[in-house]
Amino acid sequence: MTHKGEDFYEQHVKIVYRYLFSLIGKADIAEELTQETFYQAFKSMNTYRGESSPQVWLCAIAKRLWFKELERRKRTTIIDEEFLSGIAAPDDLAKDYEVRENRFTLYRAMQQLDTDTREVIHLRLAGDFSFRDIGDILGRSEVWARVRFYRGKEELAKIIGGDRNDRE
Amino acid sequence: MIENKLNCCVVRDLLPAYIEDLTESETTALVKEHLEKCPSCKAVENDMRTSVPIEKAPKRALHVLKRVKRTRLIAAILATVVALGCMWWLYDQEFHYANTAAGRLAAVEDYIPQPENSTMTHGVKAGTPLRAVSWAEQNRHLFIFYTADNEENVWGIIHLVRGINGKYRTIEATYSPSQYTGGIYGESLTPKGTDWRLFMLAGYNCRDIYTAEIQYSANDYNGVDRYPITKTYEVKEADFLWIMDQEELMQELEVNGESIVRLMIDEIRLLDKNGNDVTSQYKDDSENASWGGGIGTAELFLVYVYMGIVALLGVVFIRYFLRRD
Repeated sequence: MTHKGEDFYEQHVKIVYRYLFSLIGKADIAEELTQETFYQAFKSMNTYRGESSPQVWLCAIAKRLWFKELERRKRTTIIDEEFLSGIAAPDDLAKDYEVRENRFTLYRAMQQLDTDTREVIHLRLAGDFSFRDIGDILGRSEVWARVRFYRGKEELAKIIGGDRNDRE
Repeated sequence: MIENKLNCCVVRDLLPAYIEDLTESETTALVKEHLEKCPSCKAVENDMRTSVPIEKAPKRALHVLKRVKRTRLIAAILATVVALGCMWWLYDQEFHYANTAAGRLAAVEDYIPQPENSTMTHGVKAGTPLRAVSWAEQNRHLFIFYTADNEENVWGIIHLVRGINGKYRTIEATYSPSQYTGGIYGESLTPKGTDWRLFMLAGYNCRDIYTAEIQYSANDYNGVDRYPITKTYEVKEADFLWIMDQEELMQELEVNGESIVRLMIDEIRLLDKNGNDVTSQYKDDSENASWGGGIGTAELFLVYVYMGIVALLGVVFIRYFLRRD
Protein backbone atom coordinates (compact mmCIF):
# COMPACT_ATOMS: atom_id res chain seq x y z
CA MET A 1 0.00 0.00 0.00
CA THR A 2 1.41 3.28 -1.06
CA HIS A 3 1.07 6.56 0.73
CA LYS A 4 -1.38 7.53 -1.97
CA GLY A 5 -3.81 4.90 -0.71
CA GLU A 6 -3.83 6.42 2.75
CA ASP A 7 -4.58 9.84 1.32
CA PHE A 8 -7.36 8.38 -0.76
CA TYR A 9 -8.81 6.82 2.36
CA GLU A 10 -8.54 9.97 4.44
CA GLN A 11 -10.13 12.00 1.68
CA HIS A 12 -13.21 9.86 1.16
CA VAL A 13 -13.78 7.90 4.34
CA LYS A 14 -16.18 10.43 5.89
CA ILE A 15 -18.32 10.58 2.77
CA VAL A 16 -18.60 6.82 2.52
CA TYR A 17 -19.41 6.54 6.21
CA ARG A 18 -22.08 9.24 6.02
CA TYR A 19 -23.51 7.67 2.89
CA LEU A 20 -23.74 4.28 4.55
CA PHE A 21 -25.24 5.78 7.67
CA SER A 22 -27.92 7.45 5.52
CA LEU A 23 -28.74 4.09 4.03
CA ILE A 24 -28.64 2.08 7.22
CA GLY A 25 -29.22 4.42 10.14
CA LYS A 26 -26.89 2.40 12.33
CA ALA A 27 -23.44 3.81 13.09
CA ASP A 28 -21.80 0.49 13.96
CA ILE A 29 -22.86 -1.28 10.81
CA ALA A 30 -22.06 1.82 8.75
CA GLU A 31 -18.57 1.94 10.22
CA GLU A 32 -17.97 -1.73 9.56
CA LEU A 33 -19.19 -1.52 6.00
CA THR A 34 -17.08 1.60 5.45
CA GLN A 35 -13.98 -0.45 6.15
CA GLU A 36 -15.27 -3.21 3.93
CA THR A 37 -16.01 -0.72 1.16
CA PHE A 38 -12.44 0.56 1.14
CA TYR A 39 -11.14 -2.97 1.33
CA GLN A 40 -13.13 -3.83 -1.79
CA ALA A 41 -12.21 -0.52 -3.42
CA PHE A 42 -8.48 -1.07 -2.97
CA LYS A 43 -8.84 -4.59 -4.28
CA SER A 44 -10.46 -3.40 -7.50
CA MET A 45 -8.56 -0.13 -7.78
CA ASN A 46 -7.10 -1.22 -11.11
CA THR A 47 -10.55 -1.66 -12.66
CA TYR A 48 -11.61 1.86 -11.70
CA ARG A 49 -11.39 3.89 -14.89
CA GLY A 50 -12.29 7.28 -13.53
CA GLU A 51 -15.55 7.42 -15.48
CA SER A 52 -17.33 8.65 -12.40
CA SER A 53 -15.93 10.66 -9.50
CA PRO A 54 -14.27 8.56 -6.78
CA GLN A 55 -17.01 9.20 -4.24
CA VAL A 56 -19.71 8.06 -6.64
CA TRP A 57 -17.72 4.94 -7.35
CA LEU A 58 -17.17 4.33 -3.63
CA CYS A 59 -20.83 4.91 -2.82
CA ALA A 60 -21.82 2.41 -5.48
CA ILE A 61 -19.56 -0.18 -3.86
CA ALA A 62 -20.94 0.72 -0.44
CA LYS A 63 -24.52 0.34 -1.61
CA ARG A 64 -23.81 -3.02 -3.21
CA LEU A 65 -22.22 -4.21 0.03
CA TRP A 66 -25.17 -3.06 2.11
CA PHE A 67 -27.61 -4.88 -0.17
CA LYS A 68 -25.49 -7.99 0.10
CA GLU A 69 -25.47 -7.60 3.86
CA LEU A 70 -29.26 -7.16 3.84
CA GLU A 71 -29.62 -10.36 1.85
CA ARG A 72 -27.44 -12.19 4.32
CA ARG A 73 -29.43 -10.83 7.25
CA LYS A 74 -32.71 -11.74 5.63
CA ARG A 75 -31.53 -15.29 5.27
CA THR A 76 -30.34 -15.57 8.84
CA THR A 77 -32.67 -13.34 10.82
CA ILE A 78 -35.99 -11.73 10.29
CA ILE A 79 -35.42 -8.00 10.16
CA ASP A 80 -38.15 -6.27 12.07
CA GLU A 81 -39.31 -2.79 11.37
CA GLU A 82 -37.90 -1.54 14.62
CA PHE A 83 -34.43 -2.46 13.47
CA LEU A 84 -34.89 -0.73 10.15
CA SER A 85 -36.43 2.38 11.67
CA GLY A 86 -33.35 2.75 13.81
CA ILE A 87 -35.04 2.54 17.17
CA ALA A 88 -33.08 0.99 19.95
CA ALA A 89 -35.02 -0.61 22.77
CA PRO A 90 -35.41 2.21 25.28
CA ASP A 91 -34.47 1.92 28.92
CA ASP A 92 -37.36 3.99 30.16
CA LEU A 93 -40.46 2.91 28.31
CA ALA A 94 -42.79 5.69 29.47
CA LYS A 95 -40.35 8.50 28.77
CA ASP A 96 -39.33 7.28 25.37
CA TYR A 97 -42.75 6.24 24.29
CA GLU A 98 -43.52 9.44 22.47
CA VAL A 99 -40.18 9.59 20.72
CA ARG A 100 -40.58 5.98 19.76
CA GLU A 101 -44.07 6.53 18.47
CA ASN A 102 -43.03 9.58 16.47
CA ARG A 103 -40.08 7.87 14.90
CA PHE A 104 -42.08 4.85 14.07
CA THR A 105 -44.72 6.99 12.42
CA LEU A 106 -42.01 8.74 10.47
CA TYR A 107 -40.50 5.46 9.40
CA ARG A 108 -43.87 4.20 8.21
CA ALA A 109 -44.46 7.41 6.30
CA MET A 110 -41.00 7.26 4.72
CA GLN A 111 -41.79 3.79 3.47
CA GLN A 112 -44.63 5.25 1.41
CA LEU A 113 -42.31 7.57 -0.51
CA ASP A 114 -40.65 6.41 -3.67
CA THR A 115 -37.10 5.09 -3.36
CA ASP A 116 -35.33 8.09 -4.90
CA THR A 117 -37.10 10.60 -2.69
CA ARG A 118 -36.50 8.53 0.42
CA GLU A 119 -32.83 8.26 -0.40
CA VAL A 120 -32.52 12.00 -1.05
CA ILE A 121 -34.11 12.80 2.32
CA HIS A 122 -31.83 10.40 4.14
CA LEU A 123 -28.72 11.65 2.39
CA ARG A 124 -29.65 15.23 3.14
CA LEU A 125 -30.67 14.80 6.78
CA ALA A 126 -28.74 11.83 8.07
CA GLY A 127 -25.70 12.14 5.83
CA ASP A 128 -25.63 15.95 5.78
CA PHE A 129 -24.75 15.91 2.08
CA SER A 130 -25.19 18.96 -0.11
CA PHE A 131 -27.74 18.76 -2.92
CA ARG A 132 -24.85 18.86 -5.36
CA ASP A 133 -23.27 15.77 -3.75
CA ILE A 134 -26.62 14.01 -3.62
CA GLY A 135 -27.15 14.75 -7.30
CA ASP A 136 -23.67 13.35 -8.05
CA ILE A 137 -24.17 10.22 -6.03
CA LEU A 138 -27.55 9.48 -7.55
CA GLY A 139 -26.44 10.49 -11.03
CA ARG A 140 -28.83 13.43 -11.26
CA SER A 141 -28.62 17.20 -11.01
CA GLU A 142 -28.44 19.43 -7.99
CA VAL A 143 -31.85 20.95 -8.82
CA TRP A 144 -33.37 17.50 -9.13
CA ALA A 145 -32.12 16.62 -5.65
CA ARG A 146 -33.42 19.85 -4.13
CA VAL A 147 -36.88 19.54 -5.67
CA ARG A 148 -37.04 15.84 -4.68
CA PHE A 149 -36.16 16.77 -1.13
CA TYR A 150 -38.81 19.42 -0.68
CA ARG A 151 -41.48 17.49 -2.55
CA GLY A 152 -40.66 14.55 -0.30
CA LYS A 153 -41.05 16.64 2.83
CA GLU A 154 -44.34 17.98 1.58
CA GLU A 155 -45.52 14.44 0.91
CA LEU A 156 -44.34 13.25 4.32
CA ALA A 157 -46.18 16.02 6.09
CA LYS A 158 -49.34 15.09 4.22
CA ILE A 159 -49.02 11.40 5.04
CA ILE A 160 -48.31 12.00 8.71
CA GLY A 161 -50.94 14.72 8.96
CA GLY A 162 -53.44 12.43 7.24
CA ASP A 163 -52.63 9.67 9.68
CA ARG A 164 -53.27 11.98 12.59
CA ASN A 165 -56.53 13.17 11.12
CA ASP A 166 -57.62 9.59 10.55
CA ARG A 167 -57.04 8.73 14.13
CA GLU A 168 -58.81 11.75 15.50
CA MET B 1 -58.88 32.14 -12.05
CA ILE B 2 -56.87 30.21 -14.66
CA GLU B 3 -54.11 32.71 -14.26
CA ASN B 4 -54.18 32.18 -10.52
CA LYS B 5 -53.94 28.41 -10.93
CA LEU B 6 -51.00 28.82 -13.23
CA ASN B 7 -49.48 31.08 -10.63
CA CYS B 8 -49.94 28.39 -7.99
CA CYS B 9 -48.14 25.83 -10.17
CA VAL B 10 -45.26 28.18 -10.82
CA VAL B 11 -45.01 29.19 -7.17
CA ARG B 12 -44.94 25.55 -6.05
CA ASP B 13 -42.20 24.82 -8.56
CA LEU B 14 -40.28 27.77 -7.21
CA LEU B 15 -40.75 26.87 -3.56
CA PRO B 16 -37.66 24.63 -3.12
CA ALA B 17 -35.38 27.37 -4.44
CA TYR B 18 -37.35 30.03 -2.56
CA ILE B 19 -36.95 28.22 0.76
CA GLU B 20 -33.22 28.00 0.20
CA ASP B 21 -33.04 31.69 -0.72
CA LEU B 22 -31.81 30.89 -4.19
CA THR B 23 -34.43 32.95 -6.07
CA GLU B 24 -33.86 36.45 -7.44
CA SER B 25 -35.04 39.15 -5.05
CA GLU B 26 -37.82 40.14 -7.44
CA THR B 27 -39.04 36.55 -7.66
CA THR B 28 -38.78 36.20 -3.91
CA ALA B 29 -41.00 39.23 -3.43
CA LEU B 30 -43.56 37.87 -5.91
CA VAL B 31 -43.65 34.43 -4.26
CA LYS B 32 -43.96 36.02 -0.84
CA GLU B 33 -46.81 38.14 -2.01
CA HIS B 34 -48.57 35.12 -3.51
CA LEU B 35 -48.11 33.03 -0.35
CA GLU B 36 -49.73 35.73 1.75
CA LYS B 37 -52.81 35.59 -0.39
CA CYS B 38 -52.96 31.84 -1.20
CA PRO B 39 -53.55 29.59 1.88
CA SER B 40 -53.14 26.33 -0.09
CA CYS B 41 -49.70 27.35 -1.37
CA LYS B 42 -48.84 28.57 2.15
CA ALA B 43 -49.76 25.09 3.44
CA VAL B 44 -47.44 23.50 0.89
CA GLU B 45 -44.65 25.81 1.98
CA ASN B 46 -45.23 24.89 5.61
CA ASP B 47 -45.15 21.19 4.73
CA MET B 48 -41.90 21.70 2.89
CA ARG B 49 -40.44 23.52 5.85
CA THR B 50 -41.35 20.90 8.44
CA SER B 51 -38.37 19.41 10.05
CA VAL B 52 -38.02 15.67 9.76
CA PRO B 53 -36.45 14.18 12.91
CA ILE B 54 -33.92 11.94 11.23
CA GLU B 55 -30.81 11.18 13.23
CA LYS B 56 -27.55 12.62 11.92
CA ALA B 57 -24.59 10.32 11.48
CA PRO B 58 -22.68 10.27 14.77
CA LYS B 59 -18.97 11.07 14.55
CA ARG B 60 -16.72 8.07 14.31
CA ALA B 61 -12.96 7.82 14.44
CA LEU B 62 -12.75 5.67 11.28
CA HIS B 63 -9.14 4.64 11.84
CA VAL B 64 -7.03 3.65 8.92
CA LEU B 65 -5.78 0.59 10.76
CA LYS B 66 -9.24 -0.95 10.80
CA ARG B 67 -8.93 -1.46 7.09
CA VAL B 68 -6.85 -4.44 7.97
CA LYS B 69 -9.26 -7.20 8.79
CA ARG B 70 -9.36 -8.31 12.37
CA THR B 71 -8.43 -11.89 11.54
CA ARG B 72 -5.33 -10.69 9.72
CA LEU B 73 -4.41 -8.52 12.66
CA ILE B 74 -4.73 -11.51 14.97
CA ALA B 75 -2.62 -13.59 12.58
CA ALA B 76 0.03 -10.86 12.55
CA ILE B 77 0.05 -10.68 16.33
CA LEU B 78 0.34 -14.46 16.50
CA ALA B 79 3.23 -14.39 14.01
CA THR B 80 4.95 -11.78 16.18
CA VAL B 81 4.46 -13.86 19.29
CA VAL B 82 5.68 -17.04 17.59
CA ALA B 83 8.74 -15.30 16.10
CA LEU B 84 9.66 -13.68 19.42
CA GLY B 85 9.02 -17.00 21.17
CA CYS B 86 11.34 -18.83 18.76
CA MET B 87 14.02 -16.18 19.17
CA TRP B 88 13.67 -16.38 22.92
CA TRP B 89 13.87 -20.16 22.76
CA LEU B 90 17.04 -20.06 20.66
CA TYR B 91 18.54 -17.55 23.03
CA ASP B 92 17.45 -19.58 26.01
CA GLN B 93 19.12 -22.66 24.55
CA GLU B 94 22.39 -20.77 24.74
CA PHE B 95 21.83 -18.80 27.90
CA HIS B 96 20.44 -21.80 29.64
CA TYR B 97 21.59 -22.00 33.23
CA ALA B 98 20.02 -20.19 36.14
CA ASN B 99 22.24 -19.18 39.03
CA THR B 100 20.63 -21.68 41.39
CA ALA B 101 22.05 -24.82 42.97
CA ALA B 102 20.31 -26.95 40.32
CA GLY B 103 21.27 -24.59 37.49
CA ARG B 104 24.94 -24.52 38.50
CA LEU B 105 25.10 -28.31 38.82
CA ALA B 106 23.43 -28.69 35.43
CA ALA B 107 26.02 -26.36 33.90
CA VAL B 108 28.83 -28.43 35.40
CA GLU B 109 27.31 -31.76 34.39
CA ASP B 110 26.62 -30.60 30.83
CA TYR B 111 29.99 -29.00 30.28
CA ILE B 112 32.69 -30.89 32.11
CA PRO B 113 32.40 -34.61 31.18
CA GLN B 114 34.08 -35.72 27.98
CA PRO B 115 31.96 -37.24 25.27
CA GLU B 116 31.54 -41.02 25.63
CA ASN B 117 33.79 -41.83 22.67
CA SER B 118 36.51 -39.31 23.52
CA THR B 119 40.07 -40.54 23.07
CA MET B 120 41.56 -37.91 25.36
CA THR B 121 43.52 -39.46 28.14
CA HIS B 122 43.02 -36.62 30.57
CA GLY B 123 39.75 -35.12 31.67
CA VAL B 124 36.57 -36.24 33.28
CA LYS B 125 34.92 -39.38 31.98
CA ALA B 126 31.18 -39.35 31.35
CA GLY B 127 29.26 -40.55 34.38
CA THR B 128 31.75 -39.23 36.94
CA PRO B 129 29.96 -37.72 39.95
CA LEU B 130 30.43 -33.96 39.89
CA ARG B 131 29.87 -31.25 42.42
CA ALA B 132 29.26 -27.55 41.91
CA VAL B 133 31.01 -26.57 45.10
CA SER B 134 30.84 -22.81 45.21
CA TRP B 135 30.43 -19.81 43.00
CA ALA B 136 31.14 -16.12 42.72
CA GLU B 137 29.83 -13.47 40.39
CA GLN B 138 31.54 -10.39 39.07
CA ASN B 139 29.56 -8.06 36.81
CA ARG B 140 27.86 -10.38 34.34
CA HIS B 141 30.39 -13.15 34.77
CA LEU B 142 29.69 -16.17 36.90
CA PHE B 143 32.43 -18.49 38.07
CA ILE B 144 31.64 -21.93 39.38
CA PHE B 145 34.17 -24.03 41.26
CA TYR B 146 33.55 -27.72 40.63
CA THR B 147 35.16 -30.96 41.70
CA ALA B 148 34.95 -34.39 40.17
CA ASP B 149 34.88 -37.47 42.32
CA ASN B 150 37.38 -39.47 40.29
CA GLU B 151 40.86 -40.92 40.70
CA GLU B 152 42.60 -37.74 39.64
CA ASN B 153 40.48 -35.51 41.89
CA VAL B 154 39.89 -33.20 38.97
CA TRP B 155 38.75 -29.69 39.83
CA GLY B 156 38.36 -26.47 37.95
CA ILE B 157 36.53 -23.25 37.35
CA ILE B 158 33.73 -22.77 34.84
CA HIS B 159 33.22 -19.31 33.46
CA LEU B 160 29.68 -18.31 32.42
CA VAL B 161 28.21 -15.07 31.12
CA ARG B 162 24.74 -13.77 31.91
CA GLY B 163 22.35 -13.07 29.02
CA ILE B 164 19.45 -10.66 28.87
CA ASN B 165 17.14 -13.44 30.04
CA GLY B 166 18.96 -13.51 33.37
CA LYS B 167 20.42 -16.95 32.69
CA TYR B 168 23.98 -17.95 31.95
CA ARG B 169 25.93 -19.42 29.08
CA THR B 170 29.07 -21.50 29.59
CA ILE B 171 32.14 -19.91 28.02
CA GLU B 172 35.12 -21.87 29.20
CA ALA B 173 36.38 -24.17 31.90
CA THR B 174 39.66 -25.29 33.39
CA TYR B 175 40.64 -28.80 34.46
CA SER B 176 43.37 -29.71 36.82
CA PRO B 177 44.11 -32.92 38.68
CA SER B 178 44.87 -32.63 42.36
CA GLN B 179 46.71 -34.59 44.99
CA TYR B 180 44.19 -33.47 47.51
CA THR B 181 40.61 -34.48 48.21
CA GLY B 182 39.77 -31.15 49.72
CA GLY B 183 41.31 -27.94 50.96
CA ILE B 184 42.22 -24.89 48.99
CA TYR B 185 42.97 -24.62 45.28
CA GLY B 186 44.38 -21.65 43.43
CA GLU B 187 44.06 -20.60 39.83
CA SER B 188 44.88 -17.54 37.78
CA LEU B 189 42.43 -16.79 35.03
CA THR B 190 41.85 -14.22 32.32
CA PRO B 191 38.16 -14.73 31.46
CA LYS B 192 37.34 -14.67 27.77
CA GLY B 193 35.74 -11.41 26.73
CA THR B 194 37.32 -9.41 29.57
CA ASP B 195 40.68 -7.86 30.24
CA TRP B 196 40.62 -8.93 33.86
CA ARG B 197 43.48 -10.81 35.35
CA LEU B 198 41.96 -12.70 38.17
CA PHE B 199 43.34 -14.90 40.85
CA MET B 200 40.94 -17.31 42.44
CA LEU B 201 41.13 -19.25 45.63
CA ALA B 202 38.62 -22.05 45.89
CA GLY B 203 37.87 -23.97 49.05
CA TYR B 204 36.28 -27.36 49.37
CA ASN B 205 35.55 -29.32 52.54
CA CYS B 206 37.35 -26.83 54.76
CA ARG B 207 35.12 -27.42 57.75
CA ASP B 208 38.05 -28.16 60.08
CA ILE B 209 40.40 -25.59 58.63
CA TYR B 210 40.70 -22.23 60.34
CA THR B 211 43.63 -20.65 58.56
CA ALA B 212 45.51 -21.29 55.37
CA GLU B 213 49.09 -20.27 54.69
CA ILE B 214 49.66 -19.82 51.03
CA GLN B 215 53.12 -19.52 49.61
CA TYR B 216 53.06 -17.63 46.34
CA SER B 217 55.79 -17.24 43.83
CA ALA B 218 55.92 -14.58 41.19
CA ASN B 219 57.32 -15.42 37.78
CA ASP B 220 58.99 -13.01 35.42
CA TYR B 221 59.12 -13.25 31.65
CA ASN B 222 61.86 -15.80 31.74
CA GLY B 223 59.88 -18.10 33.99
CA VAL B 224 62.30 -17.58 36.81
CA ASP B 225 60.76 -17.77 40.26
CA ARG B 226 61.17 -14.64 42.25
CA TYR B 227 59.89 -13.35 45.49
CA PRO B 228 58.45 -16.35 47.25
CA ILE B 229 55.88 -14.75 49.58
CA THR B 230 53.61 -16.28 52.14
CA LYS B 231 50.21 -14.92 53.05
CA THR B 232 47.82 -16.21 55.68
CA TYR B 233 44.09 -16.32 55.14
CA GLU B 234 41.33 -16.87 57.63
CA VAL B 235 38.92 -19.57 56.49
CA LYS B 236 35.34 -19.10 57.65
CA GLU B 237 33.35 -21.25 55.25
CA ALA B 238 33.66 -24.90 54.32
CA ASP B 239 33.19 -24.20 50.59
CA PHE B 240 34.01 -20.92 48.93
CA LEU B 241 35.29 -19.19 45.84
CA TRP B 242 37.25 -15.99 46.28
CA ILE B 243 37.95 -13.82 43.30
CA MET B 244 40.86 -11.47 43.60
CA ASP B 245 42.37 -9.05 41.19
CA GLN B 246 45.88 -10.18 40.35
CA GLU B 247 47.27 -6.66 40.38
CA GLU B 248 45.76 -5.94 43.78
CA LEU B 249 47.02 -9.24 45.10
CA MET B 250 50.53 -8.41 43.90
CA GLN B 251 50.35 -5.09 45.62
CA GLU B 252 49.24 -6.79 48.80
CA LEU B 253 52.15 -9.17 48.45
CA GLU B 254 54.38 -6.22 47.69
CA VAL B 255 55.72 -7.75 44.49
CA ASN B 256 55.80 -4.84 42.15
CA GLY B 257 57.68 -4.63 38.97
CA GLU B 258 56.85 -4.66 35.34
CA SER B 259 58.65 -7.89 34.68
CA ILE B 260 56.24 -9.90 36.85
CA VAL B 261 53.72 -11.65 34.64
CA ARG B 262 52.33 -14.46 36.66
CA LEU B 263 51.55 -15.40 40.22
CA MET B 264 51.59 -19.04 41.18
CA ILE B 265 50.96 -21.01 44.31
CA ASP B 266 53.89 -23.05 45.43
CA GLU B 267 52.49 -24.54 48.54
CA ILE B 268 49.41 -24.41 50.70
CA ARG B 269 49.45 -25.26 54.37
CA LEU B 270 46.12 -25.89 56.01
CA LEU B 271 45.92 -25.26 59.76
CA ASP B 272 43.22 -26.33 62.22
CA LYS B 273 41.94 -24.23 65.11
CA ASN B 274 44.99 -25.09 67.24
CA GLY B 275 47.34 -24.03 64.50
CA ASN B 276 48.40 -27.59 63.68
CA ASP B 277 49.21 -28.41 60.10
CA VAL B 278 46.51 -30.79 58.83
CA THR B 279 47.38 -30.59 55.16
CA SER B 280 48.38 -34.22 54.98
CA GLN B 281 44.89 -35.32 56.00
CA TYR B 282 43.59 -34.05 52.66
CA LYS B 283 46.39 -35.63 50.70
CA ASP B 284 45.57 -38.44 48.30
CA ASP B 285 48.85 -40.33 47.99
CA SER B 286 47.64 -42.51 45.15
CA GLU B 287 47.47 -39.54 42.85
CA ASN B 288 50.40 -37.63 41.46
CA ALA B 289 49.27 -36.66 37.98
CA SER B 290 50.17 -33.22 36.85
CA TRP B 291 48.48 -31.91 33.77
CA GLY B 292 46.22 -29.02 33.11
CA GLY B 293 43.66 -28.23 30.51
CA GLY B 294 40.71 -26.23 29.47
CA ILE B 295 37.82 -26.16 27.08
CA GLY B 296 36.03 -23.31 25.44
CA THR B 297 32.78 -22.67 23.64
CA ALA B 298 32.43 -21.28 20.14
CA GLU B 299 31.26 -17.73 19.70
CA LEU B 300 27.62 -16.83 19.78
CA PHE B 301 27.69 -15.89 16.12
CA LEU B 302 25.66 -18.85 14.85
CA VAL B 303 22.89 -18.30 17.39
CA TYR B 304 22.57 -14.70 16.32
CA VAL B 305 22.40 -15.85 12.69
CA TYR B 306 19.55 -18.23 13.56
CA MET B 307 17.78 -15.54 15.54
CA GLY B 308 18.20 -13.16 12.62
CA ILE B 309 16.65 -15.68 10.24
CA VAL B 310 13.69 -16.17 12.58
CA ALA B 311 13.27 -12.41 12.94
CA LEU B 312 13.36 -11.97 9.18
CA LEU B 313 10.77 -14.71 8.65
CA GLY B 314 8.63 -13.09 11.35
CA VAL B 315 8.79 -9.71 9.63
CA VAL B 316 7.90 -11.29 6.27
CA PHE B 317 4.86 -12.98 7.79
CA ILE B 318 3.75 -9.87 9.66
CA ARG B 319 4.05 -7.77 6.52
CA TYR B 320 2.09 -10.38 4.61
CA PHE B 321 -0.73 -10.36 7.15
CA LEU B 322 -0.80 -6.59 7.48
CA ARG B 323 -0.75 -5.96 3.75
CA ARG B 324 -3.43 -3.58 2.62
CA ASP B 325 -4.75 -4.54 -0.74
